[in-house]
Amino acid sequence: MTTSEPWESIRHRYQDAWIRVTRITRLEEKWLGRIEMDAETAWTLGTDNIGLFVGDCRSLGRTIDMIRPLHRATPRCQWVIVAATKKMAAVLIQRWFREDLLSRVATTTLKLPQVYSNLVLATPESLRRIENSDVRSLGGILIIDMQCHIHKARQGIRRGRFYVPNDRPQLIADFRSRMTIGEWAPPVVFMTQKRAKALNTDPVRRAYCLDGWWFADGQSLRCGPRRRHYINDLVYRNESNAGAAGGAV
Amino acid sequence: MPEESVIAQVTQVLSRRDDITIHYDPPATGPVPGHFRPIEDVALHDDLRRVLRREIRDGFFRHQALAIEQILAGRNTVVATQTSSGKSLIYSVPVFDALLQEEDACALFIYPQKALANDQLSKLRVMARQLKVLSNRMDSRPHLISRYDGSTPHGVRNDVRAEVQVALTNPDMLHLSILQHHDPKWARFFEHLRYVIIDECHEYRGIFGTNVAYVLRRLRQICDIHGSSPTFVATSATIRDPREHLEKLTGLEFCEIGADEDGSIQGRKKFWMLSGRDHFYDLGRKIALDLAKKGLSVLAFCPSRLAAERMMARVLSSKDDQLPFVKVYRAGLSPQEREAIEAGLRDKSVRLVFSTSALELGIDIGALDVVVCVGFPSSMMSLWQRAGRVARAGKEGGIVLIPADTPIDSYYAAHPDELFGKDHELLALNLNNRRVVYCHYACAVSEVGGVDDRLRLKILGEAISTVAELRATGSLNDDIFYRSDPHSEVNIRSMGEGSYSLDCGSEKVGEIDDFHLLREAYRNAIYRHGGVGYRVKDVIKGKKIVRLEREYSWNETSPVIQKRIRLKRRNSVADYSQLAIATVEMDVTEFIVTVTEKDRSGNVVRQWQGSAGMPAHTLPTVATQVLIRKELWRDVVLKLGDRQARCALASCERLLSSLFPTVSGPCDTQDFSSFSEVLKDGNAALYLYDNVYDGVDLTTGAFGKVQVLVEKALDRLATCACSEDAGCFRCIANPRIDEATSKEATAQLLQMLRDAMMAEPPRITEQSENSVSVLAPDEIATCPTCSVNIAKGDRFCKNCGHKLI
Ligand SMILES: [Zn+2]
Ligand SMILES: [Zn+2]
Repeated sequence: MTTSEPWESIRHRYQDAWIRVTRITRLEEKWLGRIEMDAETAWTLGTDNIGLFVGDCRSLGRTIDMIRPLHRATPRCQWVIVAATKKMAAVLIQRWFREDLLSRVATTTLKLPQVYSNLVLATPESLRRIENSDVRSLGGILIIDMQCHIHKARQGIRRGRFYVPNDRPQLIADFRSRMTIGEWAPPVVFMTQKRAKALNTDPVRRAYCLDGWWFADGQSLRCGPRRRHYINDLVYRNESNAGAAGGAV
Repeated sequence: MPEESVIAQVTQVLSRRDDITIHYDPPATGPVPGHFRPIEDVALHDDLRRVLRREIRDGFFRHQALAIEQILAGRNTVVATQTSSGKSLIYSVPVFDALLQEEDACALFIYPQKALANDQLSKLRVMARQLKVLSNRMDSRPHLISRYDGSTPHGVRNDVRAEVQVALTNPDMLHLSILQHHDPKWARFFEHLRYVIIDECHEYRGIFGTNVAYVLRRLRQICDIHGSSPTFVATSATIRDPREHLEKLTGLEFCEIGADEDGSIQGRKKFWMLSGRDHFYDLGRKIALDLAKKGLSVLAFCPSRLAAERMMARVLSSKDDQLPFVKVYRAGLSPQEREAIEAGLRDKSVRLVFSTSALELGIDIGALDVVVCVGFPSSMMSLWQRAGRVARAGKEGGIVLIPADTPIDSYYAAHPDELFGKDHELLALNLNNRRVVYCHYACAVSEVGGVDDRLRLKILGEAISTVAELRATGSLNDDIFYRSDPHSEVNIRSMGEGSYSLDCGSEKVGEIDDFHLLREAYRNAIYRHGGVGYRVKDVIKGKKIVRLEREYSWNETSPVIQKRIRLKRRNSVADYSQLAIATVEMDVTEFIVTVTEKDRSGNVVRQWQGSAGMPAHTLPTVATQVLIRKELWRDVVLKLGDRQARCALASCERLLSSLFPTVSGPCDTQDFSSFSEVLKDGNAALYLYDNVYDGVDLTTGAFGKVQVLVEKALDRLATCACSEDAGCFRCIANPRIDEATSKEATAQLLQMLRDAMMAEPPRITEQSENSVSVLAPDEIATCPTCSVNIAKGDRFCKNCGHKLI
């Protein structure tokens, strides 16, 4: 392992591992063991330019429940959450940031990016408005794209006589390149409802400028501090309910 | 006004400059009078004799008469005399003689470039017009003497095929169209084919030459099928052993007419080699312009197309007047533009041409006064080709050589005698190149009706026979053998995995091969094509498509490429106790590790880590490996420290590789490449490898010459005029990468290598060349973790994410 400056900086960000998941093969969905997003994993993903493809996530609601504890991670490790649409961003704010099931958030007045504790919520288009100073200790980029659509939107839109180029996956890739330290770029965790084997994952990978995927089973995803300093009730309940998805670290 | 001699005028221009150093100033040579033989000596048709008597009053040059006699006697003949020694007459005469003697006789002329065919076509037609019989025949059959190549309009191709008796083409068209459709479209032609003319056959070397060797074997098979056995006539620049080259190229026996028989007139000729305080581009441009202003006609050879354009731009911007006598000549000009320049040079309205090596070939632009070489040509062969542009037909001529800021040119500037005393080079051909053999096997089979058993294996040669055997046992099943049109799969000029199409929306902008893909059209790259900027949005390996989008910024991108070596086989080994030198077969895998985008003032705008989704590129090739055993490498590290030792290894690699052309055949810097690494087992290694799929046996030629190369590298370091230890571009500084360098450390490493080689004679083991193993199929790779098949170029398993490269 290296002792370079970027490595020290990543180690500082990842003193705790807040995401755990089971790695699988794409076609047979064979289990390859449990991994946790610790400094070493983040380093490997970030320097080898590999994305973590978390497929088979159930609904958006369930997904929010799974990742909800992330905002309680220490402020040392920040996450940028990329929502596929503004509408999804509104739902994320309402059900995650505000934990309010009743008051709807209007998409028309929604201002993005939005900072919430150690999280920054954005759509691909609003990533460019994130200041470097807001994400001094970025741990990774979490893309929530339930339908797996973002990578297809590369053409831009025609507004009357004007063509507005809008390459959505490229916006994410460019943001990631802006966040690069030395040979390390923040890892991408890609969450979708689709199973990896039901998709051609290669165009998705290329669109995000990634060199490879680690595939993971979305139902095995757990978020929160390591069990030995485990205190949270809600997550704990969820986890024991979903027990069969198995083998928590 | 009495005409001043060209050499005196050049001397005067040079002596007026006080900012130049003359490295080499040999006395002028020549003029050489001609040796003639009367036309009557050669048994020719009377009409032809009559015309020749008018055209060449003094008779044939000695070598012309000798060659024509051989050809008329049906012997395959290669003529390798000087430029402007009247080589085209040698093949035109027997062809016209045959046309006059036999009504149906046909001849096939093969030129490496279209421009040459064009030039020759008009000459042949002019000559035919002077022969009454042929002139009449041409009236009724206008396509009697005709080009048949990519620019022949489809509308007239049928007429050409029906009428043509003298067809001028190139190897590409011969491969793609003529051979493929020999029956019935070309049946008449092949049945009556008497002569095959291979002009400028020294162009057929490397991968292009290897392909042409098989195209010519296929041509011979087709002739055999149609019952003809034509005589082959080849012309060549001065190369070493032209006969051997032709025998390899065609598989036939040849007789040679070379320098000893040369009886042509040569004018007085003088060389100068000089450098100055200015950048060599500027010096070359200024001298060329001074000479042109004196009224001399000047051809300035530039190192690249870009350099020629830049020098032209400088000339125009530095002056108020328009300088209509200055032009740029390069590949990619339209035929009209080119002809205008050629005509201008002939009538002296154009007096200065900045040219790429495109004008090294024998296109007729008349006699020039001075050639200025801005940067040395890459081989002796092209040096003499360039020099042959002046002092034609007894006139005087001068050649000014200006070394580039590179190790090799600086080496020759310090050792001009070595440059001029150098042997002519042997041309590289590798008839066992697996990919080439496979492809031409498939083409040959389709040309005999798709049945393997009908191949004429005796004609097609050993390697094709080996493939036939392997096919018969069922062990070769590559896709290429099952293609319905294998011909379109083969690009005979650059062999790779086929090229990528550059698409912007629905428009196809161009094409690019794997090698350049990784350097120019990688993901996120800004790619400029014909003055228009594009951004690479996606590279789709399966479909061979690069998707582009218009880009309007002036930024520039550059990749950092990393290489990995996988050794497959060692052939010859020279073993010393502290190091080993070997010829090896290996895979070189290249992939991008970062892409940097900079704005016009050089500030980094963005940087993408990793390959950004680009596939890696694997090149199976051959190399000469210098293995520094761990004991010696440990000593090097002890002496220099780890960091310095690694830097020295890299500098050493750069020096040896840039000086490699001093010991090799003609090659461009693109033909070969190098790599060095410190291995995990503690050994260090340095490789010179062919930049061509499966190799063409170019760099393997360094096997016995490593010690000479090391000496030359030491010499370059010792004599370089730079004062800093970091060195300069003429020795070890790398113009492309900013890295730490040390002349002192590099010299120490080189000395240790030399001492290790001088300490003892090597034990040499030769692996016998086994073409079966060379031609055998690749095994299919699988992932060590999940055992799915892995496609070439994948850096990570697509199923489990396992890191493969
Ligand atoms: Zn130097
Ligand atoms: Zn695998």
